[in-house]
This record gives sequence, structure tokens and C-alpha cells, in this order.
Amino acid sequence: MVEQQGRAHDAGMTWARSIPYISGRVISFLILVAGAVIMVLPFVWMVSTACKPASELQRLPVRFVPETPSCLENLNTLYATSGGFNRYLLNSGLVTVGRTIGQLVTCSLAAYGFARFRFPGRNVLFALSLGLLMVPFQAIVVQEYLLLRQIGWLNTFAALIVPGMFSAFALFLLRQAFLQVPIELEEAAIIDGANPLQVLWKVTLPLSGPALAAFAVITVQAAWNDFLFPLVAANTPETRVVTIGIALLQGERSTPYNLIMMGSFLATLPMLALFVLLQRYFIEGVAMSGLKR
Amino acid sequence: MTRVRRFAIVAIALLSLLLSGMVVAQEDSPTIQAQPCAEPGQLTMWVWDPVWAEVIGNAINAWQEDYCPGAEVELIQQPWEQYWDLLQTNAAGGDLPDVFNMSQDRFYFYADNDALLNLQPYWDEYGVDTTVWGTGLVDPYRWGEDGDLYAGPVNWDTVALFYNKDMFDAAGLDYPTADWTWDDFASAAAALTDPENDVYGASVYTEYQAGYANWIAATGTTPVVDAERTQCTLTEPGSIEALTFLKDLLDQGYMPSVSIQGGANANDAFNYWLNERVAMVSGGSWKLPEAIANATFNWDVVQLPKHPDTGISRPILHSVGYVAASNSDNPDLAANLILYLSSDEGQQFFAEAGGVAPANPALQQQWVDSFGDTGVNISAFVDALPDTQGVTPFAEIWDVMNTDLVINIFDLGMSVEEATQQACDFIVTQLPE
Repeated sequence: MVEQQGRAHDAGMTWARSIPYISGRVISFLILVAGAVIMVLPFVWMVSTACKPASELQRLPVRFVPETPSCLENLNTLYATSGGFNRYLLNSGLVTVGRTIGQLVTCSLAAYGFARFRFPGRNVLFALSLGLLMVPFQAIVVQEYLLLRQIGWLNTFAALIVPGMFSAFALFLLRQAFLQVPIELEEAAIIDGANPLQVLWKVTLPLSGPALAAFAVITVQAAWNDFLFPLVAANTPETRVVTIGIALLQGERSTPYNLIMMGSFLATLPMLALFVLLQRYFIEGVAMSGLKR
Repeated sequence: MTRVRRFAIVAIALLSLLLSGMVVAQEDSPTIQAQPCAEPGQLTMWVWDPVWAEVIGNAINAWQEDYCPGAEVELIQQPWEQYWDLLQTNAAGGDLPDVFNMSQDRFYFYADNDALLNLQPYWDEYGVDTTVWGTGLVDPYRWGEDGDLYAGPVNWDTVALFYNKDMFDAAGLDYPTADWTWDDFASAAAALTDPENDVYGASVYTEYQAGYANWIAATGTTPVVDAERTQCTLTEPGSIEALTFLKDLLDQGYMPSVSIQGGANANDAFNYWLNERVAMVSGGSWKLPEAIANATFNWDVVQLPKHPDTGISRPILHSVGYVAASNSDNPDLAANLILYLSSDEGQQFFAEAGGVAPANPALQQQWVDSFGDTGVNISAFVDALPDTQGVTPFAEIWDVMNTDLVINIFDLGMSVEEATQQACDFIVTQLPE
């Protein structure tokens, strides 16, 4: 009896204790749900607009489900009017792969150098490299255009890929990751006769898997979404990337929101797939660097 | 005598036939005649609009076939939003395309920096009378002491009053006419306003081109800045009168505020009209295709109402032009292409495509007909052409006059005097010295 009373007493206590716990959980869920809605709403709106006929685009009151769904019609019109949307997607893919591989090579070598070698001016050089992060691209875009013009690279894939093959952000991210690799492992390899390149290739890089994946994901995303530089450097139909292809749909007097949203939807799909597959690394990448791009 | 008389009659008949033939021939003769190029070569050309890109592409093909076999033109459409930034970047690199689309409000910057080819010698050589284009169409593209014409006009657009006929019927009002004055307009706006159903009589104030500037122009004052760009005109009596007239309509509840209609952009007002929340809206001719396709009610257009004292309505007219770069490798060829694109033949492509109207005065009816049998008085825009106001403001003051001024007066309740003074304080700092 006493035991039962004690149990009841305990249960009461647990219940009393759990009221703030439950209400805390409810509040945090509500906040999370609100956050999720805010994040997902633009995407839903994009898909909804992509499937609306022109007559429904700006109708009041706002409707999420189109009265006359026109997804296929809009898709066909997009391909008919954009003049090679697939080509633009392919170009974006090429630029993205080129830049990502390029950055992987240049930045991992440079990051390894900064992480493991002592040489005069190392810290100054590293600080200068990081300083690049603070220069907005808009400030140097004209100079970069003039440079590309001088070397005859305008409107080529080289212009789209080569200047993007180095990134101060990737250098910083990889250097931090390489510093985490136990130096003893590298020393063991050196004792076994490995040269620095072999150490990087066989020891450091394999042990920095998550950082490399995070780096790749962030670089891919940045290269795929890039707009200003491709616009200035390569704006012929042969070298155009998908972000510019979408911008071309807008005229001075008309904005076909449905076609623009259909184009945006198609351009988002590869990134969406990448995010679903590698979302863990997205978060790790942001957490590791404390930076978001 | 009889023979002489008969001879005279025959002679007079023949002469009159000949004369009438000449008149007909004169009417039929092209206003601007394309001419063969001297030597083919290569050109690059930029345009900003996806629809025009196609129309101009077709015109260029015809030019290559009929007037300049062997010429090559790389026609590139650039995104509208970034067009001017790109042009400026390329100008910095001395790398402007040979031929490109120019806007009246941007022309000044490029002409002032000697970036544009003077086309006047070519107009003279080709025997083109540049006065055939109305003054509002080409005057903003004249430069230098002699008023040389630096552009071939592509197209024009101007502003009229779009109105919902169903709402007029429901209110038992006669439809507006071209003879309407501001007073007729104001009383109709009052009668059409239905506060219970959130319906407003009119929305005609948004941004420069489709909004308040048309009302200022009707008072006889050049809106915002004068043609010489020497002073801000917003504080002049005509501007104050027009803006006060519009603000009174707003204060009396006949027009929606910026917040209510969802923005200070002309598209917001027009969208509000398309959604049957407002009975009358001032809209550009570029809105015709959208209204024809999307309006779910009976509607029509009419010229803007006239100022009661001046007796004029003077809508803003904007014209896009073709210009050539002063450092083009092929200036003669660039000028020849511009001649073709401005000629009767080249302009046919615009006239047939519908949408914006071709600049060529001979093709206006063809443009009106291109919309098909809509029952809409599209000629109202053409009828407005003889007395229009060309665009005098420039890019640097765009935000202040289109957004700040409109929001201050038509949303935040600032007095017209204070808002215009505030706008002018900024605008005078941007005027060329």
C-alpha cells in the first residue's frame, strides 16, 4: 500500500515535471514547423507557378493549386522560347565539374602546404589568401573581364572554369580539416619513405573524407548557381549557363513568371538531388567552417 | 474649236489622272527606303528582349538576303535586368557590340562619353528625312550642336486609359471618350468607387512612364526634369497641380494606396485592374497583349483625359533605338543594317509581330490590325502620337522618381510640396554640370 502510494506519488511527480518538458517540446516543434514552412513555401510556390497558365499568374486571391494545370505546356514553351535550355544545363554541368575538380587539386595542395610546411611568410600568405574572402566579386568583375579579354579567353569555357579553380573558402576549409589529421600517421608514412605528395594522397586526403565531401557539395552548389561571372565572361549561346538562360526569359515589358519558374525548377532538380543524397555533408560543411555560401 | 476643247478635256483628264497617280504613288512610296550595303562584313548585335530578338533575327535574315549577301551578324540577346551593366562593362573594355538596342533614358550617358557612332552623315547619304519620325520618337536621340540623330528608332510605346466596361455599365455611366477632361475623369472615379466591395474608381499614379508624369505633361510642364536636363521640374506649378489632383482622388478614397494595390510599380496597378479591383488604370501599349489574353471582363482603351485649361492630354512616349558603337570595325555596315531595320521593309517584321508598335509612321495601321478583331480601340494609342512627351529623366534618378516620390505621396501621406521638394533636392545633385 505504502509502495503503491509511493509509486503514485512518483508518477505524479513525473507528470508534474513533464508538463514543462512537454510544453517545451510542443513550442520547439511549433517553431520548427514554422521554420520548415518558411523554408519550403518558396519551393512550393515555384512548382505551383511553374504549372500555372499565364492568365492565372497574378490572380487574386492567391491560389497554390492551379485551376488549369499547365505544367507540360509551360515546359514545351520554355524549350521552344529559350533556344537550347538543355545546352545551358549541360554547360552549367561542365563548368561545375571543371571548377570542382580544379579546386580540389589546387586547394588541397595549397591547404596541405599551409597545414604542414613551415616556410617564411606562411602566415602572411595564408592571411592574404583569406583576405580574398573579404573582397566582393562585384568589385573586381570589370578588371577580371579586362584580363580575360586581354588573353583572348572571353566567351570560352576556359574563362568560365579556370578563374573558378581556386577558392579561398575551400583553402580554409581543407586546411582546417588537414590540421585535424594526426601528424603521427603522416610521420609514419614519411618514415616508410613516402614523399609529401604521397603522404597527401595516401594518408591525409583519405582521412579527410567528410571535409572533402562537404567541400565538393558547397563548391558544386556555388558553381551551379553562379550568375554574374558567366554573364560577363561568356555570354554567347554556345557557352551560356543555365542561370543566364533563365534570366533571358524576362523581357523589358513582360515577365513570364510561369516559364521562369519552370526553368528554375529544372535548374534546381540536380541540386535538390545532390542535397537529398548528401545533406549530412551540407550541414557538416557549414558547421566545420562556420561559413555559409 | 470643238477639237481644241476635246483636246483640252482629254489633256486635263490625262493630267489629273497623272496627278492622282502621283499622289497615290507618293502615298505608297516608302517613307524610309533600305539600300544595299557597300561591302559585306561581320557585325555583332545586342538586344535585350526575347520577343524582339526573334523579330530582329528575322529582319536581319532578310537584310542579308536582299541587301547585303555575305554579311554575318552575330545577334545576342542579353538579359534585360543586367543589360545596362553588361553594356557598361563592355564599354569600359572598349568592346561594345557594333550595333545594340538603346533606350532614351540611357542614351545621354553613352553619347556624352563618345561611345556612339554619329549616324547623321549616313541619314544624309541615304537621303532619309529624319523628321518623318515624330519629335517624341527621335528627339531624345539627337546630340551635339546640330542635333544630329544618333539612333534609328525601333519602336514606340505610349500610355492610355484602360477601363472596365462592365463596371461602367453597372454604375450606369457612359464610357469615357477622347474628349474627357480631368473633371469628367474625377467624377467617374467617384461614381465607380464601391468601398463595400473594395473596388476603386481608378489607379493612375504609379511610376513615371505609366503614371503621374502623364498628368504633369498634360499641364504643359515637362515632367521631372526639363529636356535640357538643367533643372528639376517637380516643384513647378504644373507638377504640383497634377500631383495634388491625383492625391485628392486618393484622399477621397477613389484610388487605392500603394500598400493596398500591392506596390508602386505600374504592373501592380495593372494587375489590380485585371483582378477587377479598380475600374480605370493608366497603362502602356505594351500591356495590350496581356490584357487581351488575360482580362476576364469587357474592357476598352481611350486616350488619357485632357487638362481642363490646356485642353491637351500628353502621354509619355518612349522609343527604343538602334545605335552603333563609335569604335566599330565596320561603321558603314552597321549604319546600313540600322537603315534597313528602321526602313519600311525592316519595320514590317515588327508591325506583323504585334506587341510593341513599329517606329515607322507608315506602318501604324498594320500594327493595329496585327491584334486581330479584338473590339478594342487600339487606335487610341496611335491617335495619341501627335502630341506626346518624350522621356527626359535618366537612370540615376529612376528610383527616386519611380519609388520614393510615389510612396511618399501615395502611401505615407506626405504633402505634395514636401515630397516633390525632397525628390528635387536629390535630382539636382544628379543633373549634368
